[in-house]
Amino acid sequence: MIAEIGRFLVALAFALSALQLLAGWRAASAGSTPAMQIAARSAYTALAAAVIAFGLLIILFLQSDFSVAYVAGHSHVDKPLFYKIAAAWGGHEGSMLLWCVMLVAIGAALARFALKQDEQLKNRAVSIQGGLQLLFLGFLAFASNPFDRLLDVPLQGAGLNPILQDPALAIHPPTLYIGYVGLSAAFSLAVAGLIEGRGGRAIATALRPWSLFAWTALTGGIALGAWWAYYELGWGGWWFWDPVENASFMPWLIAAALIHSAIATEKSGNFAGWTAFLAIMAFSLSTMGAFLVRSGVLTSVHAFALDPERGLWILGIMTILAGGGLTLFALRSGKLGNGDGFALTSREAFIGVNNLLLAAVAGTVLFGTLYPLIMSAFGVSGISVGAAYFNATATPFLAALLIFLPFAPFLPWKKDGFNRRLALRSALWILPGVLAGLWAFLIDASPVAIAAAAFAGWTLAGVVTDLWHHRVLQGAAACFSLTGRILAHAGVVAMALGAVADSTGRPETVRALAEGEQIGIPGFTLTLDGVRRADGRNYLADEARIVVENGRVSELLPQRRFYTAADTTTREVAIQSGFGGDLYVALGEPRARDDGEIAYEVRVSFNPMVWLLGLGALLIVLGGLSASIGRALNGRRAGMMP
Amino acid sequence: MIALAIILAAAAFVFAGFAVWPVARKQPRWLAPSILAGLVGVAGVTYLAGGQPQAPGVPYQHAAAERMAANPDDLEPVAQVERLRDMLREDDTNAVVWAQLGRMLARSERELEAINAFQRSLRLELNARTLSDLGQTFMNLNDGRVTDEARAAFEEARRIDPDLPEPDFFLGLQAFQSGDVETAETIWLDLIERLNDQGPYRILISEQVFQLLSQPQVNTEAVEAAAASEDFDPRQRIADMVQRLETRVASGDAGFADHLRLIRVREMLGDDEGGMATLQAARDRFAEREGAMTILDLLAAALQADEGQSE
Repeated sequence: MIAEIGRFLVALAFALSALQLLAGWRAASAGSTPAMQIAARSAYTALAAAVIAFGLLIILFLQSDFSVAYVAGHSHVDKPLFYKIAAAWGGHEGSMLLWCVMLVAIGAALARFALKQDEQLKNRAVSIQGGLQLLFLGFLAFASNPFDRLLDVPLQGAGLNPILQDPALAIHPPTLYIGYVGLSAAFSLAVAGLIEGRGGRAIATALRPWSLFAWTALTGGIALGAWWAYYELGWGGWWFWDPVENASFMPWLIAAALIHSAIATEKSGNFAGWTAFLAIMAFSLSTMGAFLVRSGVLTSVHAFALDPERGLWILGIMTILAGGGLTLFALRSGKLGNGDGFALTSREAFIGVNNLLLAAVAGTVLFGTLYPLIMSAFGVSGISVGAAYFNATATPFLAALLIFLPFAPFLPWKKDGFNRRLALRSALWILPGVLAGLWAFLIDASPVAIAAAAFAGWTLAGVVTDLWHHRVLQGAAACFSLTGRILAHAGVVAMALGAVADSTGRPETVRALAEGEQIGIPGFTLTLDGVRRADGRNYLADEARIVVENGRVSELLPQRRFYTAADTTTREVAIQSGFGGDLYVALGEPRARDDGEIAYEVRVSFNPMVWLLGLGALLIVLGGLSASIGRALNGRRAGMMP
Repeated sequence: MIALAIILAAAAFVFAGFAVWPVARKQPRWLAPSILAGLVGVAGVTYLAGGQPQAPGVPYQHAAAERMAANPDDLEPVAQVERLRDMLREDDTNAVVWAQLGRMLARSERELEAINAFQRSLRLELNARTLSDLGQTFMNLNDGRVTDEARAAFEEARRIDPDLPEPDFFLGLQAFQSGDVETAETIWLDLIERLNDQGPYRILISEQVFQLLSQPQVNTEAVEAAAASEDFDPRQRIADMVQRLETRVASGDAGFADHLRLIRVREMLGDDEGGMATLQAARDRFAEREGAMTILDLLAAALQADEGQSE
């Protein structure tokens, strides 16, 4: 019965979204107060229905009701409680329901919080959001329903994919989806603004807080995914330029461009068209990510549905969103206004450069990701685009971004601002840049990495100067905004330095070790002290005790797990983190050696300063949150937010 | 089904009613009911596109309770495994259930899980039969080889219960697989002598021992090398082997296994008379070894039955 109630609530949310679309449209067109109220109430009730449906799905997982196909396919009665709950979004149908929950949550938030001073634009946006909900809930209800039943009920579930049975990956999808779906608010507001013929400033003001929030969540989601890949996949990488990773990176880049562009548009009306275009593209690219993950058109370790029919649905949705949005943009962008203009060394100019570079990276990533698909359309199959392409094309643009990044905060809006003082100040940034480059040179970095390190040092000096220069800003909102900018920019620097360190090539050794034998990498000696059984609730495991000596003695406990329900073996690496980097140990298969000893394959590597990547991501997220708080305080003062 | 219909209708009217409330008392009067009906209609049609209101939910606890109430013999093997797992979810300190689960899993060729179940059982209670089953599962996992882990399990099982036949049989097999036919022969013949005349194991193990000891001892590498040469003649090789065995038996140097091999190869070549003669020679030679005589008696009975059939 629970499954049937859940299915009905999804259907109800679908119907309420249709009402939200129609009532919101009527409210915006005729200024009807009852219609506005109905649109808002539809949004709230659709949210309630979707949330309860999602809660019921979790209950089905907790009950291990294998009469529900999705539960049978993604759970097992012996799965730990936390992962039974996480399994609710561990597969295609459940994650699509989560996506829809977030979409209707954004719809309700738009109805409740957005644009109190411009009801017409708000109602139009609520209506557009209702349309988005209708598309995705339709897809959920008719083609990906998580409440579908099985007539022949299996005795036991198949279990969640073991590599997804991990705390980081349980949190990663919801965080990522907040980001993806959060961008729908920017899309709806931009489209609503174009329909209503609002100026660029109004649209930018309306969509900025939503984009900032979504971009922050997207950063957190991507960082969690990279962290998971680092310690779970067992070979120590954190970014593989996998199509699905790229699918999240592209909206991130475009959203980063959008939040900068929207600042310029809000301040001086410049880049109005570009801001609206980015808002449309950001959510369209998010939808494209969903298409790539779920259609099976591209091979990826992350893809979790290989269903061309569902892919066609999402392709249809994507075509409606991007096609409709861009057509509208082409027809109505003239009404956005031209802005006040700006000088060559004004803040807008540098934001423009920032946007061009971010868009260029997004473009090269998009081309590299879709290239195999394009070629297969011409009958050339088996082509894959690897890290070499992405590193070669994206790195120069990203390095250039670092060069320009520190200038903008010191430049005035509209007017030329590159004076002698700023020239002297920027001359001071050269020294940290040289020192960072020297550091990269000393740790054997490649020429590109040395350059990136030098630019990162330069940028870091600029960020510190920015903090020093603007320390006297008054008011909580300004403080939060400044803190947000400083943290986010410092985060970019930390990530750049982390990537440089990672690119230096980590020392790595793989050997088959019997008990008592040693393996060494520079600075460390590791001894396999023994292997014992360390079974968990739903897996069997061998756990090695590895004694590490590097001046002091410590131990690491890597595991090799066999998940019986899924018939899959995984490696649970052991990591010893330090300032210099991570000692990374993975335990492999046991095998009989020629000398008759049973030996375990042990893989040891040292990943230099990988913590910088985590720190960078954390700083960016904190920066985004701080800026969001500053924005909310500003908005409240201006009466735009509650 | 009726309860479900009431719940769905209530949900529809509460949610949709809340949404259309702003126009409930407004003109035109038909507007609110129309929107309400439209909402419920769209939701109902969307639901019915794939809904199965008649299908009951099957929470695992209910399914487990039904399995527990059923006669285990009426259940499919997979359901029996699940029933045992259900019992262990209730109480995982029952060594007998763990061992039984291990046997069921081993029979389903899920060796890793079976080994885990046997080990869980042994942690709770050291039992010779479970140890023996564990050893056999290790063997199954290693294509029939008696590995060091399997040998340790069999030795421990023999220490706990010397009367259990399987550990000795497999320890003999371990010696046989490592090329020590003499030790294997001794272990097996001692085992057969120890077994009850009327018990099921004596005949079963005797037949197995004959099959193993009568296998021709072949140096695979040498045979492969010889087969590669142009003048390789398999019939000549067999004749040479028979010749060697006959010489050894005639000289009195031959062991029990040599006799069995000669009987087997002569029977395969259709030399029934020669086979019977070798059998008689073996009887004379090993008359004092009860285990050997058991195998030879079985062999004689089988040969006579074959002769009877061919006549």
